[in-house]
Amino acid sequence: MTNKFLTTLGLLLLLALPVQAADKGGIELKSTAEVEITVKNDQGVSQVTRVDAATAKVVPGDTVIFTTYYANIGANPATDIVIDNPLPEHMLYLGGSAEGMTPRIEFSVDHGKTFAAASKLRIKDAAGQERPATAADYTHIRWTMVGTLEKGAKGSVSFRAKVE
Amino acid sequence: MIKKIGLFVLVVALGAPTSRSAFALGTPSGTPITNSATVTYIYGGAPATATVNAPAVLVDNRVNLTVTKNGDLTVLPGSANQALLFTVKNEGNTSQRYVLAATKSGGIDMTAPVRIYLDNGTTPGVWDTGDTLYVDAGTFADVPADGTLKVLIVANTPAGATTGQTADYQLTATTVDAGTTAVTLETGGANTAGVDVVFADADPRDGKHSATGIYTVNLALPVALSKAVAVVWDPSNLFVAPKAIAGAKLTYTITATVSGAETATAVVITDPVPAKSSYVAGSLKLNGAALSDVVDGDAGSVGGAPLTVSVGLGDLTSGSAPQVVSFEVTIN
Repeated sequence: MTNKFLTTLGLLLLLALPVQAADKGGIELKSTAEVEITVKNDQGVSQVTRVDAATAKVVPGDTVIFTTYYANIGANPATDIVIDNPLPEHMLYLGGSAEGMTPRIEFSVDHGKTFAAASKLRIKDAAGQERPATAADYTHIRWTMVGTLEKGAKGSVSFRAKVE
Repeated sequence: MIKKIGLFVLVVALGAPTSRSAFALGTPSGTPITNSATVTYIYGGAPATATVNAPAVLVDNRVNLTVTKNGDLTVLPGSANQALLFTVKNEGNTSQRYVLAATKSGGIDMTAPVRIYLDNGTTPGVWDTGDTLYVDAGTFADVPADGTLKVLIVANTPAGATTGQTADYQLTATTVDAGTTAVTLETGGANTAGVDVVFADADPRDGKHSATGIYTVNLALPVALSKAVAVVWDPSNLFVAPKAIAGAKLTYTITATVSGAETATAVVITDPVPAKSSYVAGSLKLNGAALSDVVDGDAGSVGGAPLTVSVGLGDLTSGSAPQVVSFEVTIN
């Protein structure tokens, strides 16, 4: 009697959990780190292909492509979507490499406190002199989407950075 | 007003550049690089957030090294322990050791054995008894990324060598795994879970590099001598504007200076007393201190035929003070 009751309760909990998860969040993220390698195809022509950086040889000076895939897996549309990506430690952002289906790509040079378009960012040097920020100064990248990500819709944002 | 100035300074300090780290020769191998992205959005009328991490990327070992020579060397025939100085630099992102080899690449043979030393003795750039003899890659400690080894090729010059002959000796360094005597091998094929090895040194990218130093045999070491003469007394004018007339007293001053990176060993200055003049007994001086004319414990002597002044100066380098030898003669 007691055993049967517990089993039923367990089943109910198992059924309830995925439903709760789907209700809580609509956007699912996946992230990859890749490097480009040149390989020769059957015809002996060199082709650039991307491979998982975790299973490639990566040394200082190499470029890694980081891509974040997003998808609305919920039942409702999502709005006001902002993706923030701190630049990984030991990586230098490659100027102009941030991409995404969004009109606003901004950067931070103060560890995410403030964001601005690349052309408007300024930074103080050691002597306190202000100068335009360069790609190597960036600490964060932010993609701000306009409009709605409908149920089932998906996309990706990416950038390239060089191993210091 | 004072408060305002204080605040201004504080703001500038906070606005200092970012603390992004930087390594002279790259991120150390074994460092995991993780990328993390966060999305914030409105869903069903409520704010929501999600974060994702990309699989960690392990930085691999970028092997790179350079060997440079720090100069060539002019040597005397039959001279012992002549050292060519090289610098081995770890240009990679990982601590390494090195197998070192000295090989002749041209010219005459130096007298065997040709040895390799770590230049860690009292006098940099030359061989001394404090230097450590190289045996194998385990002789010297690991060289950290951006670190260097100062290495000497040490050899004796053949006694029969003649001026103008050269001996070219090449120092080759081969990369070895830190803490071992095993030569570092490039990771072939696919990436492994651990730190892989990628050769990034100069072609043919084999984890080896070399440089060649040249011994040049020269009987005339770069010891520069200058000689000056002054009339100090004559029988007519005495000490006032004396002229070089018969009976006048002259002072010869010879100054020796050494140039170049080498040590001039056992330098001896010899100068025949000029014809038609007589050496003034007891007038020989080295750096202002009197030397006796006889061959004895001090550095100087005057003797032989024709009468010759001789002063031993010992070992000299470009760092030695100029050595001044002086003596007086009377015009016959």
